[in-house]
Amino acid sequence: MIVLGLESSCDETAAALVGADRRILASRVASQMELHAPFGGVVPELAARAHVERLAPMVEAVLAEAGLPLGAVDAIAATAGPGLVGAVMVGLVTGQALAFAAGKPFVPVNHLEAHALSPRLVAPDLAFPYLLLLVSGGHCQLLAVEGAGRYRRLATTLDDAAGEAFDKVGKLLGLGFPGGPAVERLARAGDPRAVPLPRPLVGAAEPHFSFAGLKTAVLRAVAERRHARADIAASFQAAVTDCLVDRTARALAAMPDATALVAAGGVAANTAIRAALEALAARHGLPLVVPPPALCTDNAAMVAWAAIERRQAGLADDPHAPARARWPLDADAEPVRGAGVKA
Amino acid sequence: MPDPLTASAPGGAGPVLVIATGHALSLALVDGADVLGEHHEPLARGHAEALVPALQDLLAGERRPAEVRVETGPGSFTGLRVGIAAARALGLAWGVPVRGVSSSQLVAAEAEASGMTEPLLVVLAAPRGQIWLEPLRDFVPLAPAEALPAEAARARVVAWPHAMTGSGLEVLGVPALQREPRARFGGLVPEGRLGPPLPRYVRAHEAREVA
Ligand SMILES: Nc1ncnc2c1ncn2[C@@H]1O[C@H](COP(=O)(O)OP(=O)(O)OP(=O)(O)O)[C@@H](O)[C@H]1O
Repeated sequence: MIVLGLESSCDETAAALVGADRRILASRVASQMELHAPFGGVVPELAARAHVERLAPMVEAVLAEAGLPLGAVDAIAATAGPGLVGAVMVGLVTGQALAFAAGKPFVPVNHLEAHALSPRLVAPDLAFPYLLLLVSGGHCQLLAVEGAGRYRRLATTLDDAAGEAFDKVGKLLGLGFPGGPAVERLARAGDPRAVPLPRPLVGAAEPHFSFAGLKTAVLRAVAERRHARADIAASFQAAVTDCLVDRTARALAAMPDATALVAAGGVAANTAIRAALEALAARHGLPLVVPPPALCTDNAAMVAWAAIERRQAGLADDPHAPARARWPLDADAEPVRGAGVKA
Repeated sequence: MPDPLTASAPGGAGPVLVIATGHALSLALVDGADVLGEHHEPLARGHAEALVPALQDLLAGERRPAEVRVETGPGSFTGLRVGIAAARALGLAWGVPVRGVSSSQLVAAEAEASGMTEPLLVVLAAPRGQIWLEPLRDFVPLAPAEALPAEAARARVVAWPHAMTGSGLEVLGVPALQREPRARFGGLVPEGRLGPPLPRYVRAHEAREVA
């Protein structure tokens, strides 16, 4: 089975061809970073516009790269949400129209599910259930991944996502967008103990994350003008790391049958955070699985792979599914006060 | 760089699928002036959900078009993008050319077919009570399309000495034919007047100044 996957839920246009044998035949991602950078964040209208211009040529490019005609593809999948609805729609309609014209089945994919299952694309031995820490610009969640289509949300953020906090702190420190990689680079030259910063919800009985207070404390530290920027960056990164580790430890304790700790999303690319999670997993006798950066950030190979997993699990999806701004993986999870828009 | 989707296409080789989603949800399979099939429904939103099922109905029986034409605006940004994304996907899958036809060209094609004279001012209803204006002659814009608040648009319309048509006239309270872009007229626009399958984004700076 070969699936063509499309991704357009935010500011990355992507297309990929993936086989059920886990071979990535072709995978392309066009970042729109340069389009949105002047605005300090993603502009939905610009994102949707760029997807329209780029997606069809990209589909042609991945087919050419794999040396396959569209007719050789067994199914077509596209992200149907959550994300910026106008952006999601472009990939969704493209996928639906391709599937219709080529006479292939269409699979609408939840972007979060694609992140959640992506580690199995690179780690064939990774068995269900595993604990997933999804940390990106739009999400900060802990999920028990029990199978394709089977998720239990154990925790989510009450306010900002971790990546969002990195981006806001990057802005406060005068670094460009996105802030994550820039803050990490600056942090290398700083002292993580130099600036006293809070660790919201660390040790709390409730399972969730919160980063708003930390961001406010950074704002104050910057305004004080007493600390070196590198020290602020390093101390901020250390605080986020402590929060992530504490909350993940709590979830691991609540999930004794977990076979692994998996970290996915852009923030999982952070070396310090990754090292801390690795140590935590080791304390529980578990491996830490982090998909490679190309699979961690938005891409279409994970969308194709999620469709493969869903079809193999015998799940039937409505090919005419609408684009969705919100689409929680665990529909039964209780709404959380002030949770991020996509949670 | 020429768009690979629009390059080197022989016209007139068979039926043309026309997709117009900037205003209504309007689809048609045409051969010049002949309409082989049509789906036209007034629809303010929800184009994305309705489009592919409507295409399936229209093209049932394996009628594969030789070309796809798609409305490029001015129209609803979301609607236009949905139609263009679909058109480009269909062109890719079928291996047929995809060309853009402007909303004003569709309206002008209908107006000409009913004997209206040129030049023609196309007046279209835009969101939030605004009006899109585009004067055309022989399917070529005489000035860039504009988005204007109703008052400014009315002044233009009153001053226009020639024929005019379009859904925006009703908004302005001007008695005339209330046409909206309709796919069935897409086959009447000469090939040389078509453009790339990309949304036309209309400048709205004057609107902001006035508002
Ligand atoms: N090295 C890093 N350290 C910390 N944060 C990082 C690093 N690299 C990237 N990030 C953050 O990760 C986020 C981008 O991640 P990703 O592309 O997975 O998600 P997204 O598109 O923002 O959100 P989502 O996929 O949830 O819709 C940004 O907020 C960015 O600042």
